[in-house]
Amino acid sequence: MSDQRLECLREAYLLGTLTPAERQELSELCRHDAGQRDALLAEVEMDLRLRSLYAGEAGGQRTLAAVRHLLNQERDSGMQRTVRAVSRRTHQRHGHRWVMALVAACLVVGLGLWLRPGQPPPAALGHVLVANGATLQRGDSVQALSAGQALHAGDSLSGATRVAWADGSQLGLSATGRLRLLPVEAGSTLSLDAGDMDAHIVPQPAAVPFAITTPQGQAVVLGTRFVLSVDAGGTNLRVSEGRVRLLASRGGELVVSAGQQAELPTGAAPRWIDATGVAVNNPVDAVVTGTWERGQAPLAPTLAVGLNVFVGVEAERAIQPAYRDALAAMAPALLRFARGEQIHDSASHPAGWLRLDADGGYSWDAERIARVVPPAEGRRSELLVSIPDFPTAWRTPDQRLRPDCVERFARLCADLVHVVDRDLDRRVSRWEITRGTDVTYADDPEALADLVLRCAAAMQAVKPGLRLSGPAFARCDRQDWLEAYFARIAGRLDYLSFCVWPSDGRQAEDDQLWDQAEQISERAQTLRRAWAASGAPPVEVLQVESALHNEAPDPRFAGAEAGIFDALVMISAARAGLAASCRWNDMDGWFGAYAPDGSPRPAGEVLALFARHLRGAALPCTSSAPARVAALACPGALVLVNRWPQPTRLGLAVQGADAIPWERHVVTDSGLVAHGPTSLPRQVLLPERSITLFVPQP
Amino acid sequence: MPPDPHEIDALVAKARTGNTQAFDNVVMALQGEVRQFACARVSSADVVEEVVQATFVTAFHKLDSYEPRACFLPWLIGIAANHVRSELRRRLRLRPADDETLEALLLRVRLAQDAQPEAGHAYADGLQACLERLQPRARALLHSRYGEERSLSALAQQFKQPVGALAVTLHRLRATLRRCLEAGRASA
Repeated sequence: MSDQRLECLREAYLLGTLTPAERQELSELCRHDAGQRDALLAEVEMDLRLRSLYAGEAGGQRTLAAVRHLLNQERDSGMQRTVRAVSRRTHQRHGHRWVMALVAACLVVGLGLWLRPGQPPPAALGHVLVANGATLQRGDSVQALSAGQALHAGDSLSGATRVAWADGSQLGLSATGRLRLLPVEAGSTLSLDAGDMDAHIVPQPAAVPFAITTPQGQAVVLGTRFVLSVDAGGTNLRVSEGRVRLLASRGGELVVSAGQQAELPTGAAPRWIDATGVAVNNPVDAVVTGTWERGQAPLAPTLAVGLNVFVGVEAERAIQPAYRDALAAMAPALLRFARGEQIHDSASHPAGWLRLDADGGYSWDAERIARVVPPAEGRRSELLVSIPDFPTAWRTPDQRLRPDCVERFARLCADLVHVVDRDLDRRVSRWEITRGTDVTYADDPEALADLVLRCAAAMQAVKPGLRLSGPAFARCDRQDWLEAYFARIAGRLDYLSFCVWPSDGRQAEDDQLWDQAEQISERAQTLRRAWAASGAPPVEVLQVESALHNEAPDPRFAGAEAGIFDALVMISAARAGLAASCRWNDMDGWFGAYAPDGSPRPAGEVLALFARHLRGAALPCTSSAPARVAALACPGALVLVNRWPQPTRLGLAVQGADAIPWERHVVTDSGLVAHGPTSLPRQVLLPERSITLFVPQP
Repeated sequence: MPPDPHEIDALVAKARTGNTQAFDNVVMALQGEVRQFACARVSSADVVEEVVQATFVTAFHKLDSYEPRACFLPWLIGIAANHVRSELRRRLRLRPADDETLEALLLRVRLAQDAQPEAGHAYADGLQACLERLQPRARALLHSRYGEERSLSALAQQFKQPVGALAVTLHRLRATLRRCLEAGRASA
């Protein structure tokens, strides 16, 4: 049988158009040839999958209708079975048909009320976390609440208590609070009749929102944290996360977002109010509160704002005026040389630092290194030099260092110290033995520790007292791995370094990427905990690489998105007390802080501003809506990052900031704009997706 | 994308309190995943529908036994796997023991393969992604064949290809999709 004939038979089978003769033919074939049978089944599977996929929403609706029908049928037959069973027993006992009929009728009514179409037995809506002497009214009885007590629709709570909802949401009721749990058909989940209620409601399905009725209207929650208060004058709502729709009974509504506050006066439409409760025309979207003090000048930066050298590793590009100007404009406190191609052959790669010797070994190309690593004289940045990886020829197939090459690699590391610090006198502040090899050695931390120890000993023999780390960790979430690694190497490293490359790449939403920027402190914390477990004294922690993600191309690298990411990384690093934060990278086509033509991107402007003005330790400063506006105060600047895709009207309440003039620098997609010194405003409109620095003037 | 497991848990929590709308939303959100799971383990469209419906009816009755840990879909697929087995057995029981028809043969093979769920697999999402990688003309052909349910002769006319060649093209497209799904599973 030809392939085409076979395909026609299979297609006809799938379409249900086989003639009896064809069916017989295909059947015989499948019965005697397991391969043909499996091939037909594979076709059937894909055919069914495609049918299902193309049936889409309509197919889903048909299934839903069928499921509803089946559940209703079960309910009806269940009731009939119950009635028949009761009637049999009643007939046996009394033999009176009228009694049987009466009982059956009662059961039908009772079950009909209880078993609404397809409804399982009623479950608790939530339970009490903290009772605090509050009371529960259930029907006519009033009782003291107790922790753990289940709550059902119809229950009324009075007094201070804390309640957990079945979906994980939590509600807190004030001492004067009165709250009723409503049945499903009420159209609201709760009714707050008096007092205050703070709530953290987990994200709700759009079709079934969490709604709270008050005497003046209704608050429809879309997954959020908020405080709702009710008194004789009206309902007051303050949202700290997410959004709540506030609807007046007499019409009118406001959608209140994180940081905003609104009230619903009795008999009136909802309106915006400010933090002091005064009605305003425009809502303040968020409030930043804090304390500022100048500190004792001159202030050193506690966070070294750094930059990874990428283009500058290539000799021809490093000497171009546009590159030098860009570097001078950004003035990073730390320059890190950690480009992977550094360990390539300098004869074949413009970024290569290695020379392949005649005997098959490697040595460093001192001439190339001299041209790209800036001399100490006149240099404003400290240097961190990494030996980023093992030379390709010395790697195993799984990218580890071949065991027979450990000594040669250690010598190579020592030779680099010799060339850069002894011969060229570049005065490198920090050295780093490999980056990301914690992933390559994911199942053998001890082997990596032994390797790094060997290299460290060789390097320190060349220059005693040099500051070493290794590797720059790509993953900081595996405390067990880190503890095993540090147990072997503790006391021999002078600082720890790690990289931040958010996951999901181009597919990730801006907020997902920015949220990961703010998780730096958790990573640093894990590193510090694992280090502390070794018993070694604390060491500095540096975040040495970060970028929006690692999947170029993405136009966000050249936009405000990357600038915001960098700003959030540095804010998070400053708060976490890190010694440095370095972005990836200087000037390449995609990731660069500067475009290849020498023009600054938002990320470049941000780096320059932060490098210049982040001085002194972080001061107390909080944002009422951190998911919208991130804030950092230090003696050198007040930093405000608007993550929102719309302008944010921000209230500023910063003690100690009134008496002096402030210069304002704003970075947006369009670049940097500076505004002349003024006093710090009480309210400021932050442009959409922007980074604002208020810099105190002398 | 597969539905957010936390959102599903929120819906399930509401369904447990008697909110039938919430349960309807669960059905609509997950029926595609259950259906794709069943397609790979049965031999005809009517068994798929039977399994999907029975799965949601069973799930409804067992809602209280589900522990909300963002794993409702795997829980549901476990139920579906049981229904696949029992439905295949039921259908075979209805046939004579010596039934040698093609349908009986395929039912026996499927039953012997056993319907084990694959951990963490997004059943519906993978196929959609694979479809998007096909050439536009190939997608148009599949759309006419499955979305518009056109006959082979109508497709031959529409795509100006003989029926035999078209059957081969469709076979190759399904094979391409199958390989794509397998590659996705392997990389996952």
